[in-house]
Amino acid sequence: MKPFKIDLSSLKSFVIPVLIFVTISLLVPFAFIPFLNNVKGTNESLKKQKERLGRLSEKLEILNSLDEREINENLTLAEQTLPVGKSLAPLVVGIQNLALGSNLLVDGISLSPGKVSTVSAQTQISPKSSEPNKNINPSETRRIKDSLVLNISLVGNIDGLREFLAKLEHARRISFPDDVSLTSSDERGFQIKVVLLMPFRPVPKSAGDALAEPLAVLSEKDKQTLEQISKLVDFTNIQIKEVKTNVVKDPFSQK
Amino acid sequence: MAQGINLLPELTEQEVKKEFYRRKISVVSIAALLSVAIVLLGIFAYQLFLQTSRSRVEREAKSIEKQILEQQDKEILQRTLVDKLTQIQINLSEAVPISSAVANISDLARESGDISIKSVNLKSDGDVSLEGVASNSRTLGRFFNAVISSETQKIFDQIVLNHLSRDKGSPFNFSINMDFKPRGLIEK
Repeated sequence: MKPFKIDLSSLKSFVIPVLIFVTISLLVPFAFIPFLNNVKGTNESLKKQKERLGRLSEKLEILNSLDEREINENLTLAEQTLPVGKSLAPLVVGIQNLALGSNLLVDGISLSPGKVSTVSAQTQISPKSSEPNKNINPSETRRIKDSLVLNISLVGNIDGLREFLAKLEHARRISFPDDVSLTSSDERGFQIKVVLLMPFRPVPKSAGDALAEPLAVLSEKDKQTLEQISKLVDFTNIQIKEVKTNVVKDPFSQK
Repeated sequence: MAQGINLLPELTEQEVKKEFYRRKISVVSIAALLSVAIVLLGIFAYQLFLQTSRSRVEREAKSIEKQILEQQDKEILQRTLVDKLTQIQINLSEAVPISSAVANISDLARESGDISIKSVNLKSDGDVSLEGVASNSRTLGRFFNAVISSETQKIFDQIVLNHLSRDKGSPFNFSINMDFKPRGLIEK
């Protein structure tokens, strides 16, 4: 019987092409694709960095063009219109003066303390802090949170009230009558009740990449608003004299 | 005369073709390997370029960040100013000019003659409820005509007479609900 023989000499010339094919087949999934992904990641990161650099450059350009003195002047004006805090004493005295100047008799002014002792306190005493307090109407919460609420009782006539409200509308510290009611009383004209909302605005907080956050310049609309509020009358620029009391300012200080 | 004799056996046409394809396969496979190597090298060079660019951009960003931080106070002031002005604009544009509503109601009553206002209630959403007394029907007619006139309807909307009554020998009592239309305290 003739022994079985395979002649591999004819395949010898295909060894190199086959090896190359195998190498390429292995290179694609194990080197080529990971390498490409890496390049893609670096490219994306570079793109983001470039965008950030652009934002930073733009911001620096804006910052260099701003005049700090001018910003301070405008901010003083805006602060008188919409203060950071409640600035209660000059406000109450100012409103009282406005009412008296409009021939209205001030029967009383009471205020809702607002953020600290209403909304925050009620939310904290609720059994679970995550549960919203059902006793508070959301719109009312927002209203109380962002505004100081003054309940003003006045006595006078309609013309006086008109003058008082017009003065408030032209006052620099912005306020909004939430509810105005007049009831005629024979003896002294009208019993007038005004619920006045005096909004205030705390300093804005920035979140995230604060450094690269774009900085807005004053738009035409902003400039118009500034011009408009500069024409308004400031009725809260009243110096309140401190009254001496027997209350010890710092009980821990040593005499 | 000498005659050349070919002693090598002649290659068949099939063998010639086979040799040609064998060479071609080898050349193509080596070319493919070289191409892959060149592409890989190209990608590597590109990656190197990207990394260098990224480092340069990061350096520049850090330098600008430093300059921005030096002007941080100015930035905070500007941010606060813009925020406040935006809020002021919103507040002024949404506010109801209640003094104008009071003035209009007062003028309506005055122009109609003997109308006395008993009570008025104005809400921040523009809802107005008015209760008044008219001494006679002519005055009441004049007042109602003034209320529904086209001039008044530019200012007040959805005018509804809620109540009208008169006891014998007494003046007319009426109550009206209206919606005050104007919004905003911004001068145009």
